[in-house]
Amino acid sequence: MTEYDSGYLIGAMFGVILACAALAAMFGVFRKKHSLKGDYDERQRLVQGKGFHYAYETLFVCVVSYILFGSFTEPFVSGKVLLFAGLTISALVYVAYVIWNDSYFALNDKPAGFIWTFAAIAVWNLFEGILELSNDGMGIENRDLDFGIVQIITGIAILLVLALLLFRRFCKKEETMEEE
Amino acid sequence: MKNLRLKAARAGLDLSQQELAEKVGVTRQTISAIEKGDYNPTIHLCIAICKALGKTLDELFWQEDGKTS
Repeated sequence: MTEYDSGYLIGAMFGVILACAALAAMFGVFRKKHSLKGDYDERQRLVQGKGFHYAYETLFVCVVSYILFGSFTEPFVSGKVLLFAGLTISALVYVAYVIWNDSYFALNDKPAGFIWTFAAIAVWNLFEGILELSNDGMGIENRDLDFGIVQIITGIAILLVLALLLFRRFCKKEETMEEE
Repeated sequence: MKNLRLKAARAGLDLSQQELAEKVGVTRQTISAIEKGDYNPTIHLCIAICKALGKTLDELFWQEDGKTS
């Protein structure tokens, strides 16, 4: 290890420690004013439990599929890519299930803030991903995904979640009007 | 099975589902699910709802034939 490497490592470690201390201080101050704990009711916790169950089953199916058919895809993409795909799909299954059953947001959450945050993150990921791909021009290199394509996939996944959130809010408004 | 007695008790006090949910500490969707019969609440939630509406457990959540509503 050269002097440059050790200096970089020490600097990076110091930066991480400083960042953790700053975050801890921020949370300590913020927690006193606002409750950070998500307060879900019993039905929501039940739905989340079912959501985790379905997500696990989805991931299990993906892993078994990889075991059975991975040899056919191996020349084109590495196992890491398929693992990423399985994790993304199972996460989407969980999120879609809890959103559809009104168990994504806690009692003290403000959905509007989340929606705008998701939209911003999705746009940023898509923009960065397209920029990255336009510079490098390759989506897959050495059977692994480029960071650019990962960002695009992440952006699309978040957009799907956002679309489901907005659609569910629209459906809820109609339900509320019917029940009132 | 729909819980019409709960709905009637809530309407009798001129409470919306949202207002009852806030009193009890659950989401509006949970109250809606209980009234539609899509969700069976725990005894704790049943008691909380009864207190909020000023009714007994028998009046809101029990039927004469022994089945829960």
